[in-house]
Amino acid sequence: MIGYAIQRIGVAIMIVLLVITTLFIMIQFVPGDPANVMLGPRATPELKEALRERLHLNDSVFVQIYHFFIGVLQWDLGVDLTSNRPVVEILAEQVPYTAMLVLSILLITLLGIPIGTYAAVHRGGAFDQISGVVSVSLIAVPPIVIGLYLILAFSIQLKWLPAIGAGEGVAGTLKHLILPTFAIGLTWIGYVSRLVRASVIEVLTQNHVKTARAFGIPEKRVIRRYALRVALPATVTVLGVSIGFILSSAVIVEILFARPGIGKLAYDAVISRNYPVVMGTVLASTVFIVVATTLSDLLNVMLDPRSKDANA
Amino acid sequence: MAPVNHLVEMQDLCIDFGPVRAVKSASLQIDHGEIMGLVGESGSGKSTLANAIIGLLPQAANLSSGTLAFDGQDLRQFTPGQWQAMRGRQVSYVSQDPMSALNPTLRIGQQMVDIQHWSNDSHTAKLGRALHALEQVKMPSAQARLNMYPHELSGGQKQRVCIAMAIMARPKLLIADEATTALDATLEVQIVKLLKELQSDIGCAMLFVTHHLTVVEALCDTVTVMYQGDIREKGPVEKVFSAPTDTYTRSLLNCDPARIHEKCRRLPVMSDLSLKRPADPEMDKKRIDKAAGPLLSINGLDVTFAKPRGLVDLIQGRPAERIEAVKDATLDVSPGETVALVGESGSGKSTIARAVFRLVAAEGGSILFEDADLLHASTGEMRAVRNRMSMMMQDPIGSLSPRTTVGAAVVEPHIVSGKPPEMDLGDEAIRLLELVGLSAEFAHRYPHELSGGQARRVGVARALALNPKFVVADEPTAGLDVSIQGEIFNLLASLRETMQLSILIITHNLHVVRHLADRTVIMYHGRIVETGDTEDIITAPVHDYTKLLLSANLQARF
Amino acid sequence: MTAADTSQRRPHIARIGAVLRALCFSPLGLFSCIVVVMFFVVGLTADSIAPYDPVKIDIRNKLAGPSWDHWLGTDQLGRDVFSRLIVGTKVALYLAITSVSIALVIGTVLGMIAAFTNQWIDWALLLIFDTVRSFPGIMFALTVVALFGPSVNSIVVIVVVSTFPSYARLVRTQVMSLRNAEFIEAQRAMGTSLPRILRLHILPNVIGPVLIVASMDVPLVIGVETGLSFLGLGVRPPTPSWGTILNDGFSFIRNTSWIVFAGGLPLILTTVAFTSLGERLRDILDPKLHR
Repeated sequence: MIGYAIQRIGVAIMIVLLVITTLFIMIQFVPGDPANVMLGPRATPELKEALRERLHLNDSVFVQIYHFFIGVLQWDLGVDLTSNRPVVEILAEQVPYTAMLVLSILLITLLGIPIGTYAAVHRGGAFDQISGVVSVSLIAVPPIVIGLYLILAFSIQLKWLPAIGAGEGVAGTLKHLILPTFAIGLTWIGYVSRLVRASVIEVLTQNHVKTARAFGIPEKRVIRRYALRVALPATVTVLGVSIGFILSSAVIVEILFARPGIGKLAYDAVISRNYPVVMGTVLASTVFIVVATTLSDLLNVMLDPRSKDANA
Repeated sequence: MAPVNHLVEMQDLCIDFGPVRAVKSASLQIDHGEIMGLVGESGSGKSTLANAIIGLLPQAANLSSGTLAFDGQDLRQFTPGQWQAMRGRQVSYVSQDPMSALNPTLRIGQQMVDIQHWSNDSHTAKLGRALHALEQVKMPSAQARLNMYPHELSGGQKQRVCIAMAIMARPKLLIADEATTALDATLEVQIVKLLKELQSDIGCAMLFVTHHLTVVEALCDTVTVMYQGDIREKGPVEKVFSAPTDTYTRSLLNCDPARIHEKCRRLPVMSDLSLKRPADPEMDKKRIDKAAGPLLSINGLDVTFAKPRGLVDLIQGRPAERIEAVKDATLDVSPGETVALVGESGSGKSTIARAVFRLVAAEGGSILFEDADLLHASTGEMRAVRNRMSMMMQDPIGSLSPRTTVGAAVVEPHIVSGKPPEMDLGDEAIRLLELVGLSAEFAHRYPHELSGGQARRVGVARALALNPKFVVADEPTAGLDVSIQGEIFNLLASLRETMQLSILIITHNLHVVRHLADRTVIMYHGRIVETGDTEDIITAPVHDYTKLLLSANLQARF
Repeated sequence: MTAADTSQRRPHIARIGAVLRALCFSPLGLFSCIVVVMFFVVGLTADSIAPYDPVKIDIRNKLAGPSWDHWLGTDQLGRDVFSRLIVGTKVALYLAITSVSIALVIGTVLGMIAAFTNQWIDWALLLIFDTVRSFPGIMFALTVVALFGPSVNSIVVIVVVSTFPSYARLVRTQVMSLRNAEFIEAQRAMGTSLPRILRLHILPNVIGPVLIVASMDVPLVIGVETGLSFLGLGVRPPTPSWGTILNDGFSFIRNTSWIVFAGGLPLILTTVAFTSLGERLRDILDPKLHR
């Protein structure tokens, strides 16, 4: 188990290194002198040279990457080119908004578990068929479209919920979270419910469930103890793997709802080629994704005694 | 209301799966303390009948008419609550496949505590009862097993856990659904012995569902024979086995290779019992050409497998851990001779065959076929050799590519080896199918549209496509019903005579071996422990393991 | 064996026929088939069936509601929304076909390589797949747009790079489980060459699941286009695409909610149809369901 954990963490670190390296290399191909782009055409040559010096733009990519990671180790991601504030400080301000959104999405996603289980147990019934059609539709439609329709219905027509900003105070914050959360979360409720349904159906046909029934273990307990115990790891894996998708949708939905957060930050940074901020947001989100994936992997190993022997 | 004196009382019971009637008005009684064998081939409805008694039929099944009562209670009126109260306590169940019967995510002890949901005792008391039950089934180091997960146990140990669970509540009826089928013969003997002992300790009745007649003869008091959903015959074991009244029962008893004690050249088959021919030692001698020297000669063969390495191992350059599969194996096959390689699962017998065809790499030793050195031959040389030898894989249906028609499959060897230009593949496919007794229309079928016996015949046809001198047959009769085993046996025996084939049979089934093989090689834990003429090995085994194997397979002393 | 009789001559065609019949048997399957066919037909003939020129500006008629002349009203520049949606299908179809097929081919080839070569290459490819999966998709998209500028081909690059690992992983797992199947061993014992085994015995068994994933990836492609165009980073105006139409509509959502409502409909229809088509195909083709 510990060996496996070390291996997983090693792979995770390698992935972060690879992502950042790829990004640096890609930036090399952006046409034009970065210093020119960043400071605008009217900057003096001295100013440009100072900026190049500060960002190590005169050195090779690998030296730049080296300096970047040295900075990371010292908790220093450079300085925002427009506001001159440390990127770490800006991230610390913006990350909580996105983290809160992702967390509340993950929370409502759990609704898929009872829906999927109920559909599997009453397979072929009315609930199963209706929830099946609804889930498939929710999975299919892109979050941004769901978000637009939610705004149309609840903000424009009914005027129940706000469509813009992040709100203040506990009540305000929660109120502003509802629509963005459902815009993305509905997809994942559908996804998880389909997945749980499929794995519960599969488990219920397995021989060991027949054994449990043959010993008169009450059906509710069979489902709770035997079927869900096997279905949950599947859910954890899928959410772990999909956290990247969730985060990507979160970025777009943040912009749709004009919420502060990593999404808005990254978007503005890319548009204005504010490289230190781009790097910071990519690093933060990659680390977030890699940590989530690794945790879900390790959690699975703990949930399923068999996978300790398996690798890859 | 059924009379109370029988434990199980079944009258004219019909069970339907949609439009298909799986059990046709079956009537039977099981008394307290009776051991009943329920015998039939696959699809006979025997498992359906047994599952009906414990209410575990799939949802599609429907008890359409008749009565079914247990201990005076009408099972057809049972509510889910009543089923729960009955299962595990009054009737318990040991399933077919011990490998999958236990929950992989829970410890053994936890599972054994879970099934005591009917008791109000403390967790400790329940664990104590579980431990006692494990000791009753003679589980080695029972205390430690309670903390283990199923995947840490061997197949035989898992089956012991299942039995321990089944006897824990001292039920009135124990249903064993093919409980020993998945086990090797030596293990099967142990488990059957154990069941018999436990049954007499507890005094429960037992319904033993199986297709294995020898086990029924050794274990059961009464026997019920089913065929295509009908109960064909029932009665005391001695009476049914010595003087069967039903034609199907009689054919079944006469066709079972395990019950034919004299060596035969042809076995009787269900449709024609008169096919049986005794062996002819003169013919056998003529068939084998010892003077020409061995066709295949394996000397000191070693095969080891590497465990897959993780990324950490790869980076550290750590060599892969190796498992010895075959150690120092030596055997010869003469032209025209049939040699049987016998051993239980994991003994390395299939690995030898796979090494001959270079499906696994050998570590040491040599394999000579005619003049070719198979371990060092180039791919081109190997291709020439493959035209003269072929292999039939174990699983009849699984060894055929699922999206290739039978007609295309049987001529594949021609395509691979470069067919002669004048050959018409369509005609050739029909010739090969007819060679193995299949009609030309089979050419258009897909593997999943074949029965096990038909798929096996296709496998034989493909193996013989290039007129090879030597064929390896991996478990040619495994997974086939007794009635089909005889047909495949006769097919191999007649082809051997007409085509002057040398055959290496790999099997755990000694019954087929004794009729077909001239010489037998016994393997145990990767080593060859005994080699000799089949008759000598059967009548006078030398090695202890051979004796154990023979007593488990042939004498069936339980 | 009636199945065998009907498939006497052309078994593959009979099989496809049977799948299609099973597909159209359920209402949802029939719905998906019709929508998917319509998506292709409309996408291919868009320019000739659109009632108006989708880029023709008519300021006097801006933000009009639905009428006989303009079934779905007009946008802020007075362009016919219905025509714009029809022509927008062209972009969606082009993106779906190119990016899904490129990702499918790259993924299948890499998956087979990973499964059939040595452990080092397998590990390296797995690491690449994992890296791509961990690269936050939107950040990658933003970077590509910064690099190549917003265009339809940038979207293709983004979709291909972010989806090929899922095909590769699927193919790799499938091939690995097939690799030790008895019918493959039987081929090796016969001396069949590796390319022939791959082509005739592995590919046909892998392609089904891959096509199902492909069908379910079409909504993803459409989602990426919508998302990027919505941010102004996708298809460049004035070319109509489903995303740009929504973007225009959203800017004027307080004036008229009609454009956003109508603009979302073809998107919802298409994505739901492709996803449920994939689901239905999986149910029909899954051998586990045929007892």
